Amino acid sequence: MCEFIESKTLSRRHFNKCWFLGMGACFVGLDWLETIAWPEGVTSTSLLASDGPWKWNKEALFYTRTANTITCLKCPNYCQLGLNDTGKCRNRVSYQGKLYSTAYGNPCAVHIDPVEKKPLYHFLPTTRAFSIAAAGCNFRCLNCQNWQISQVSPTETANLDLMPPAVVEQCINMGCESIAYTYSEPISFYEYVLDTAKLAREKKIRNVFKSNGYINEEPLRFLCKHLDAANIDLKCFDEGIYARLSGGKLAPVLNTLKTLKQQGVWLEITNLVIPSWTDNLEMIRKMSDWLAANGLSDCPLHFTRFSPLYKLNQLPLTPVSTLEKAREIALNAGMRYVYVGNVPGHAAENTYCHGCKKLIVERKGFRILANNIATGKCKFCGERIPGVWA
Amino acid sequence: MPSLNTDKRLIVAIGAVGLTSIVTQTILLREFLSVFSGNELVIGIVLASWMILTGAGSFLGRFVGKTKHRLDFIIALFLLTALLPIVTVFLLSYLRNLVFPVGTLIGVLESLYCSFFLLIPYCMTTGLLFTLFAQTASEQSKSNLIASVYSWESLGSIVGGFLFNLVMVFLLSTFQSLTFLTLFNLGICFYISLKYGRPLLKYAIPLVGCLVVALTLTLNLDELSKQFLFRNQKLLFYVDTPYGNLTLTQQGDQKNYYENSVLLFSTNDVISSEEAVHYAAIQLPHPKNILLISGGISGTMQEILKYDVDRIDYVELNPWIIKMGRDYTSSLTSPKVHVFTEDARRFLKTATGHYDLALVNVPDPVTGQINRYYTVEFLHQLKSKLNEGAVVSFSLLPSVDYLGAEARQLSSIMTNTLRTAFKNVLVVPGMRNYYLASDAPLNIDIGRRIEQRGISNSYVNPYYIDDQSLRQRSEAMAQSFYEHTVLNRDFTPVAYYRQILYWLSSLQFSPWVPAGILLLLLAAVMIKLNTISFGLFTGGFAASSIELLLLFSFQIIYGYVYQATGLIITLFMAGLAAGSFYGQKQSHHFGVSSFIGTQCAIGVYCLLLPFVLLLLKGAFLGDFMIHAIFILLTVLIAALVGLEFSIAANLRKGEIGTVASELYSIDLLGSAIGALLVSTFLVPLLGIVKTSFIIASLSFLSAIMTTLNRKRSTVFSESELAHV
Repeated sequence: MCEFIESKTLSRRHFNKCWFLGMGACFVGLDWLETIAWPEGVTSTSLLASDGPWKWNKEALFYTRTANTITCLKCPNYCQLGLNDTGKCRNRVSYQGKLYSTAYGNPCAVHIDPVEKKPLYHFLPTTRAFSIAAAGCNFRCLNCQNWQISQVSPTETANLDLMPPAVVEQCINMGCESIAYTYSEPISFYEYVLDTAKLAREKKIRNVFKSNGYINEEPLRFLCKHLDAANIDLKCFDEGIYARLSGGKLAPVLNTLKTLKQQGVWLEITNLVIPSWTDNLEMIRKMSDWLAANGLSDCPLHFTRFSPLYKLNQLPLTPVSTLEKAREIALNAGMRYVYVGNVPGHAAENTYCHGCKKLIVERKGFRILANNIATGKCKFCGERIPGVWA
Repeated sequence: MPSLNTDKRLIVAIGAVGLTSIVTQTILLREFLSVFSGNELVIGIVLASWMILTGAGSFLGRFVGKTKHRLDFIIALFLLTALLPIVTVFLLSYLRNLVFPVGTLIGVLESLYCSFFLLIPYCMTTGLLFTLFAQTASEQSKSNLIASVYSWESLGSIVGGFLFNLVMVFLLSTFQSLTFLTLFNLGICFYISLKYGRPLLKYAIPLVGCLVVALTLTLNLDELSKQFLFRNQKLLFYVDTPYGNLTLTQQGDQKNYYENSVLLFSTNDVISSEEAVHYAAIQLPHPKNILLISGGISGTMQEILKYDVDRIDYVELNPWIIKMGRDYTSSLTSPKVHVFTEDARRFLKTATGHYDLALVNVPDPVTGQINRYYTVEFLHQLKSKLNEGAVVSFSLLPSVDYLGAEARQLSSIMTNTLRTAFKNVLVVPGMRNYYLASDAPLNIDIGRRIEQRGISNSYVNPYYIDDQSLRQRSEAMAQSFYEHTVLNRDFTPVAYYRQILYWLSSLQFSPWVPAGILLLLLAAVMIKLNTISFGLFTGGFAASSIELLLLFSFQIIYGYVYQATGLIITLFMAGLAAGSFYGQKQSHHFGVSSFIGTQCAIGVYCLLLPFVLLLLKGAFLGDFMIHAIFILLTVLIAALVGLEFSIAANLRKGEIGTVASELYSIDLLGSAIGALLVSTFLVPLLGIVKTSFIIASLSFLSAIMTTLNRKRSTVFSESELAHV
């Protein structure tokens, strides 16, 4: 068969050479087409340059070093990095025996949001939060709504140059009362959060942490000194589901909740109820029991509605009745403030006094229609309403 | 004619394999698309797996064919052909949520290995059968009948194509069709076993048939498979329509409507319904005549009716969606609503009304078919039906807080394409990103306007929509767009290409990986094959590629009509059979020159095709003429490829089993690579015109190679004759 195509005029080798060159040219052509079609590519502003760390990299905190590896101690992933390796969060790189964060001063998302959007319902209501995110996350959630920034490194996003002083300055200029570290996972850009939060405190700006809570206790305690409020995603109450849904573990998140409470950071908890994943009412009961038994009954608990997103796109929305049942279970377990989220106009957006059960904050979206809390107490029965109200 | 010596039972059996394959392939593609909620890349992957495995099966046939018990083997394989389609489709639904996490997006590699493993039994069986049939038929008639077997199989496919597309799809559910197919094949199996089979089979086959009937009567396989797919949901209604599967489920107090396992909408989803209407509608002081393209039963109609409108023209392609809307929702009860069940592009050709507001609620451009609603041509067609200052609204993928690189490019294409028809474009970021366009000014102060007009909404109101924040996000997004991009056109569907890249980026999968694999495969083919086989490879490549180009172009020029799509595919099979029959009949006249001539003819066809299509697109021809020209184009290319296969079968020398397996597998490999490359890379990236030129150059290349080796080819041709 092989000799079949040999000929005097054109050898097979010659022919193949021409063909491969031709195909190569075609692909060069395709590249060229791409270039003329997209003249402005996304420019990365935070590479770990070959000649050493530069502006948007900062030596990381919390790591140990052995002869050949660096172990990151920031989160329970405990990534062990060899030379020039990158951690699971995609923004911590080992370089010449040191660990660097490549997400420092280079946020890819900067927005101004109502603080209720985090959601935080008992923390400076109706104020606005200057919200920032740098690329990276230590989880792999199947339903991540911000996967375009959480599942990539800062080298793959279009970033701003916004060092901590500039963040605080812009926050003040925009008239925001707080800085929210949010959207992706602030634990992964820990050093940026820490330095910004320190400066913000000096300027009387509050710091809000929206996180998956997957952090080791020591770095958390260190950070808590500068945090004012946190909303932690408690994804479910089952280790197996936690692993499959997000690639993380439940126990460290529970420890984070307890630590934040102990450290006096205002804490609210979000539980996204995903059909077929986290909507088991028995599991929700166990979770609520645990929260109440561990001194977290004052922490507002938000059951939020799921919409098909990212890799979990073949599921329906959460039925409102499921959210209502979950709320009922949590209230019965002793949780005092339980809300339903992502259901516009639902009565469980409002706050009801845990003492007299009367409506004390009537909400519609991010606005307050009626506020019956005065100096942190219910106007009807005088019960102290947990939260940061001013 | 040599085929006259072949036993009719064998001819019927070969035709039955062709019939079964086309019906099974159509059903399986539909099911894969539904279960994997895939796009054309997934279709390409499944088709490629199908063709590669069938090719591999026929290749194995050369070894199996040497066994003394070949006829027993054929009957056993035929029994498998009867039973495997129903088992494969059931396994697909059953394993979906066992192998993959519930509700998750299935990636490219997963689609590849899943389709590959599931299709191994069926495809390899039919591939094996092709070679064994070719050997047996040729032995019986003492001549090379490879091309005839190819033609008989194609004839079976034609009958199967007509049967499925014109009858079964409208009357039978998926598993009813598959049961029919099983019983039909068991009947054929019984028929051939009467002559060739062992006595026991006369009792065993009817027994198997009875078991299948008993099983399908006692178990509702359609419902059972749906319950595997929609776990923890109560199944209220499902129907297999020519456009896909529709399912309605209940969970708690909520009803969920799915099309091909993708959620169309859930009840109580006010955010989606309100965003889809009010961002655009509030731009106009008094919207009176509204055009709604798709998505009319999800709650949007109630939102439109909050404005004092005179008339809503609602265009939906799938009539079963309308039926579901009428049976299960109150969306279509208003006398102001006028429903049109046809392709929106066809509707716009004949529409007499002029509209103040056009809401285009079609999905993202995940397929070439949907991309037609995002092109420059469509926008101009739409604009011709709009009143002065009218507003149009499109929506694309959600990017809540940040637009990734691919999303940004897709959004830029969308914006720049809209700008070709409208002076102003406004992006409104929401649960999805909405793109409003108008010649009149557009305003982002949506919350304030809603409040001023006193429209009572649950979500699109100043309580949830903070205008200041919305303006900041909208401006940031608009600033991040690229000013100069390629425009999305009918014949260069770049938005579809970007959508594929966006989808791949969500899977963290580089598009150059499959491209590289295909290139390597192509290189391997170049190195390994002789010129005749390479010619056949390019023929297969051209056949599947041109078939896709014709389907795609027909949708652009005429509009999407399910029956017409089925007709083109079936006519293609008819052309293949006709070309192959003709080649076989005239085999004594055909030599290497004819082979080269056919290749050149394919090349010339591909060179001329774009001009014909462009002429068709520009001309105002009647429906009959459009159909006639497409039928002619389809039959012509298929006949050329069929003829090429037939000539190649006569030119190649060697033992029948070896030649049959080699030619069939190469033809299928060419078709597989062609289908995958053209649908996922060449057309989206380069457009129809350049793709057609690439196919032409490949055909000319193989013609040149054969010409340069003409002398040897002739020698082989003679020795081939001597051998037979």
